[in-house]
Amino acid sequence: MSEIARIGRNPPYVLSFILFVIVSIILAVIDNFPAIVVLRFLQGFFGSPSLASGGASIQDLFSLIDAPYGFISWVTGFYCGPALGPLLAAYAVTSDWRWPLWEIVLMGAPLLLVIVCLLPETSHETILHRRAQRLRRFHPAVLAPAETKRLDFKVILIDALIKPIEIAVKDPAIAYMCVYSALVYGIYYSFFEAFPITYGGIYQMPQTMLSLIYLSLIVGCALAAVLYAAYLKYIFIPRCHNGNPSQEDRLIPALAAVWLLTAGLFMFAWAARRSVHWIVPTIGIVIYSGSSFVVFQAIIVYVPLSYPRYVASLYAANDFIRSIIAAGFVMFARYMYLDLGIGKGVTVLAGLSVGGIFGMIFIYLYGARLRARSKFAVGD
Amino acid sequence: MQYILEIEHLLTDTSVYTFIVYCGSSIFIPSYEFMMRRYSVSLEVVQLTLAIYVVGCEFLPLLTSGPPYVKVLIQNRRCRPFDLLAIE
Repeated sequence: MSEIARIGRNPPYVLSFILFVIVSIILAVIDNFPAIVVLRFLQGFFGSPSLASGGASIQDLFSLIDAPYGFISWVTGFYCGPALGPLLAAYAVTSDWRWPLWEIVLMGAPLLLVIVCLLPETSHETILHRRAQRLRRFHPAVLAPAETKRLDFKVILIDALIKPIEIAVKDPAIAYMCVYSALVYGIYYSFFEAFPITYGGIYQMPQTMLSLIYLSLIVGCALAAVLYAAYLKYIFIPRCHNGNPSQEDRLIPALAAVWLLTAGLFMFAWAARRSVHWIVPTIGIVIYSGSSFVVFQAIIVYVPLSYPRYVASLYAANDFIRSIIAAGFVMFARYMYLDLGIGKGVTVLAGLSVGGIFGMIFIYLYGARLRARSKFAVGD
Repeated sequence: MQYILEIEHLLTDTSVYTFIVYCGSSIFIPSYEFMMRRYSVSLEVVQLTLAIYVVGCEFLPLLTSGPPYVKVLIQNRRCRPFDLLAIE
């Protein structure tokens, strides 16, 4: 929808965000459990364009070489958001458990004003379309590129719903990216169960103090963002100007990060016991969160390069798989950690992430050959 | 200059937007015990409020994302998006 020139990117943003704020307000005043569950679904539903169209808007504004810079702030937003949530709520919840819900409204309403008044339209086709409309007053023959081709609803639907699945099934690189990012994201959400058990149970921290531990996720993310930006500025972008780096070169930071990610998880798993100071598993979390930030960055820049035509749909499919798996982790993680204990439970997840290391190396080495065989991919 | 401002603006807007939406997912966790007492439901039922939010986050993109737009960028590898717009 956001790809249709007549509409542009902004109306879906603005409309869904208005609904998001309205649902948040209703959620904060309603007193009925089933209604809360339904409204939570709607809240997530209306908040979702930020993720899909956000990436598209950023790609509108940046050249291919600079796009990773744009993604840094955006990925930081979606990565730090869940980590700050418990902290924002933990101190407010002691007076009234509805405060967290009001906090969403408090954060959302000012941004809504800004978005409604100031958000610039970025879709090239929409801007050209509007310009053509203005010019037509004097030169009736002017047509925007979007007006010369006809939109076929069936083609759009197939592109949006069928193609991503087909690509994911036929191209192992994309399938791997989907599964691995889903696993990393699922592990991240399972921390919301692991932290209370580890820091509340083993280290006997109260709820408020425990929620401060989530800051370690943000520390890791911030460190990784700085290092990654430095890598782009001093190593990667100079290389781009000297010669054309191959597409797989964009995975180089992730090649290091996949190892660190697993190492951080093992560190958290094996150090989380009373005889070890609590800072040690927390450092493991910092390593995990920093390296998974880099992995997400690499995936986000790698995927669109091979499938420019289907990129929005691919992001959407990737998000879909990731969220379904994260939701699953939310439901089962607690029982896994209670049955196996934190040490063994996280070791299981870390063991799964070892598979990701081999996958990343494989794609770095053979990705070009895989793309050559795929009929959807765009050659170099 | 105006372009740079616009880029900064859009980046902060989309990032803050994304931040709020994702913050909204986990912000409810500390309320779990209170809700369990208030509505006398078990923990796994309360956890649904997080799981279903995360699921909800993904339905709209599936419907709203569609076909080509980066094609223009790819075809003009050397060309920045704003170069396209500067032709008036």
